[in-house]
Amino acid sequence: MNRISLPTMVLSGICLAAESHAAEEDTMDFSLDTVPISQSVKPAKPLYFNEIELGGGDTTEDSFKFGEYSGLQNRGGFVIGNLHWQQRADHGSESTEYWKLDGRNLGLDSRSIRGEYGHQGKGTLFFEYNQTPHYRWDDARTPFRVDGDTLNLPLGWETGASTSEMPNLNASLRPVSIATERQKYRSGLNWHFSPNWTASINYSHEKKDGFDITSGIFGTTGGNPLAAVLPRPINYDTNDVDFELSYGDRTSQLSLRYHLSIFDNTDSLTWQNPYQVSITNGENQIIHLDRGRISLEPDNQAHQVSINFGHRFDNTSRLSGKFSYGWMLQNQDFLPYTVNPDLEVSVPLPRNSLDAQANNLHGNLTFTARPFDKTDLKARYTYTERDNQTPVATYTILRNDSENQTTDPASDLYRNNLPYDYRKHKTELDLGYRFFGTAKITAGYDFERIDRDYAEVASTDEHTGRIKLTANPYSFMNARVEYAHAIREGSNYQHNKLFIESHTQDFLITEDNPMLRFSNNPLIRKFQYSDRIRDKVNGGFTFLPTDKLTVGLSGRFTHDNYDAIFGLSEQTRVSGTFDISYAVSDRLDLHGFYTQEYFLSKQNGFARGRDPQAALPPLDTDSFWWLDNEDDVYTAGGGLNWVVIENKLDVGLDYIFSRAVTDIVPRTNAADALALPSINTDIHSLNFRGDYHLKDNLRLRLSYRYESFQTEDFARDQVMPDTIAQVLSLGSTSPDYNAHVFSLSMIYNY
Amino acid sequence: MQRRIPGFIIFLLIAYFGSYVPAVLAEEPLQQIDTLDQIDPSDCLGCHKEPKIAAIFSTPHAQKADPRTQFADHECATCHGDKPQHPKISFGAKAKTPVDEQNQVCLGCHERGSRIHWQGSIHQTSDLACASCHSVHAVQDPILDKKTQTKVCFGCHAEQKAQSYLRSRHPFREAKMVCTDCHNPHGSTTEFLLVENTVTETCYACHTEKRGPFLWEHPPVQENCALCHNPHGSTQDRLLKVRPPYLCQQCHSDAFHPSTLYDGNGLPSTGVQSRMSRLLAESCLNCHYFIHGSNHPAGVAFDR
Repeated sequence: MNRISLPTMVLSGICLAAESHAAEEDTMDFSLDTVPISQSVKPAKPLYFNEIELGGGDTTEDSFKFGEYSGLQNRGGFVIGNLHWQQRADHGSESTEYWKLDGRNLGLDSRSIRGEYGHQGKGTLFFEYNQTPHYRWDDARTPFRVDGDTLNLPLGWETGASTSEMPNLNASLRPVSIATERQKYRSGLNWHFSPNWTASINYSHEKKDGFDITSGIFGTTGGNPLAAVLPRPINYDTNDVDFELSYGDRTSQLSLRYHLSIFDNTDSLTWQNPYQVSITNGENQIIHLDRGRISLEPDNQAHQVSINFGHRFDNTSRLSGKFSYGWMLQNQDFLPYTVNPDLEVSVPLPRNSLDAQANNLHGNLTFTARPFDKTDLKARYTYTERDNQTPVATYTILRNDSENQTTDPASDLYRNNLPYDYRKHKTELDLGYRFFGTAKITAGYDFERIDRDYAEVASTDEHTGRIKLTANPYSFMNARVEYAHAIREGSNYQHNKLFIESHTQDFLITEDNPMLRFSNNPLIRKFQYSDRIRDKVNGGFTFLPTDKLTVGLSGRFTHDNYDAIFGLSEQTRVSGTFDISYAVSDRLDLHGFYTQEYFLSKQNGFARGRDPQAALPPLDTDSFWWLDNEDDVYTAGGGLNWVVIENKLDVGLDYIFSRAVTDIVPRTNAADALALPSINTDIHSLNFRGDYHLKDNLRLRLSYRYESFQTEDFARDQVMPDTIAQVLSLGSTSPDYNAHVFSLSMIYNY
Repeated sequence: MQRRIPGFIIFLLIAYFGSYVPAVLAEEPLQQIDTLDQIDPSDCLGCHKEPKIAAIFSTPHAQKADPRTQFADHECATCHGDKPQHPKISFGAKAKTPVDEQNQVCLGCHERGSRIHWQGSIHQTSDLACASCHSVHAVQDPILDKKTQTKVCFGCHAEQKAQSYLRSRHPFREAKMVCTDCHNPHGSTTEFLLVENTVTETCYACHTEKRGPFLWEHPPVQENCALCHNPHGSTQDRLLKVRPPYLCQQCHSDAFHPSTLYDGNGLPSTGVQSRMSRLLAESCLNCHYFIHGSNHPAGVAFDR
């Protein structure tokens, strides 16, 4: 993926052409040689606004995780190329012409280029190219060979009933890089066709390719799945167009926008079954389940029209708002129920494609005022709706290319799709009062109602009370503290609502007792719908005892208590930060910080088998289990910027350490639960930069970066492709690295 | 497959016609400041020679020929007020001029576009001065530069800074993604100052493949991505708040494997295969990978 594509070169060419055109056309004061500062205001030191950095570096480590987004994933040399070049007509001239060209990381996969040309106050044209890699796993191995949208096994592959019974698995494993890359081209034009009106158009095209993972399974129940984690080719194209017309004067502002986004993707992925699976049909013929097919994300379109507006009635009163209406469309042709022509399919698809449409409405009105001298008022109403117009139909599920399709109308495999939607109303009211000239107290109340279709709770209401105190008693001190208490209550929790609505009546009546018509535990409460009490406190304190010293302290506490017998019962999040910066002298400043974060999530469960009666009271307390998930994150850092020798040598140093520990603590009534190992991640990151000034505008930069990343994760470490009998995994382990990056570059300012 | 827009044709058209941007129509200044005296900037620069101050003359604010800036008429006093002897209005978090008064100067020209919703926003009600974040005199304002923006925001948002060092994260540290890709610090009509109408719409801006609508939908996906994900960084893969299977079990407790407690019995050392297949590797996603929605007619369990 390390390449400069043809479109990039075309864009660069256009930029240079525009630049050349500008230089030829402009006969006014604009000149490439002119330092854009008028002589009358020339400062004591020359100012340089443009910069070119060229050099090279070396990375000591091959690690996808180290180069995850930076493009430094490979050991060895790399080119440093950064550019910032701009010219602007002299501030006192008759011209407002300007242009800019920025290039960053030009020698790496994370390169970006942006060019802009315009006449300030008249119009601007820009283009942009941005390349973003995402390297995930460099140690993945798979027996699958990629052929377009098909994954084949090597010739001579012998299937097995489990991963350990695949005789040539290990010999067939080949490395596969799980990495994707986005290449985005963006260009646009804005035109200020009057002092108050601006029109703009932007277009972007993004190509995302590479490999991610997915999974494919064979099997018909939760008890007999045979799964494979698959390397999945990524081939996304997204095109976006924006038109915007905006108006603004001292009292009124308006913007109208239309946005279109079109997503295009490969339809499906077919893979060869590495497992030995076959079924017998009604005529006693053996059918080998040799292929499976999954549907990839369908092509889709999204349109949106929006209006933002604001009007100032006087110096203190203002009304603003937004109205937005969008529609998302998806009408990709359905795949057949199965890729296997030998499996019996008797019930046809109810439709050839979904013809899905979800309409999104968003409206907001905000009024702010200062009705009295020291009183601030804010009132806001927001309505958000997802209106899902997707047609509902009954689909006769053929599970995982692994069975003949049922023809029994009373089967639970006749399923209705449920087009989820919701409507959300939110009203906010804030009243603030300023006192002592330096303090302010604000009280607020929010009410939010969410109505949902196809959810266990038809409606939830949340009331929130807030109070906030801010104070700046002295010029060297400010503080704030805020407390919020929220109570969320839902209408009746219909635990089996989705079960009822997604199955046919013919199936439901196969269970005589309506109380036993459910699948999910009747006592579990999905946390986004369940009754909840939330308390939040956050605050901060900044102390500036001298011009040189700043000390800050901030923190946040959130506690959620859910009314749930099973499911998420409680969450707590606490974080605190201490930071300090000190300017020892004009040439040396120091900074440091420490942040600690704690997160606790408590959930309850109830293990059960086939008998639905077991999920109803009286419950067998031996089946109860509890699980605490705790995260402790410690992050500390510090650094300095030091001009060692004036106009000759300056250095910068930053160091950050992060330790994250996740403890998962299971408990059960029946027997002692076996503990799980902690999941640990330690990161040390050191960045050093030393600039030696050869001339006033020429520096030699020596950089050194060290990063250590050590992590332990029981879900990946020691999990080879054949470790799990029913899951053929990629065998990738949690990443560790110790990377050193040395670089030397020359920076020229002009 | 849908038809592709011929991107380069559009781009070339924009590029060609863009270089012939017509001149503006009749222009009038946005803000009339009639009472100010004409001030020679050299008066100010007599004392304020520091490059960081004089740099204003190479920024859009000082472009005299742009009638919107009013720099031609009032020079430094355009923003700093009408006392030639010394500025009446000073800017920044530590400045003596009240924040409201500072911000009114900026809003006089800039209360439009993405700043329409500034009044009533959390940053406005927290008495944040524009100059707390913006360096108006700098040729390249750090908060408008992708390379340095997050550093400015992380100056106050320390928790997000710490999260950017977790094992699973968005590319903030490489500046391939910046705070303003998702947030509008000048205010918006949503919680968390999001640039789009909802959390999901904001995420869809980059993750267009998850937009659907799908045949088989997973309601929390369509409602709010942040129900399961921590966008700023997480201790778990894929920015998940809690790792599967536990995250899934916070809502799903059907018979058999969804309701089973996955403890140390699912580790490779124990060899309990039925537990291992749900605890290790991709956990629940070993089978139910299409958790954001499936368009396969047999994908009701998000496994196709």
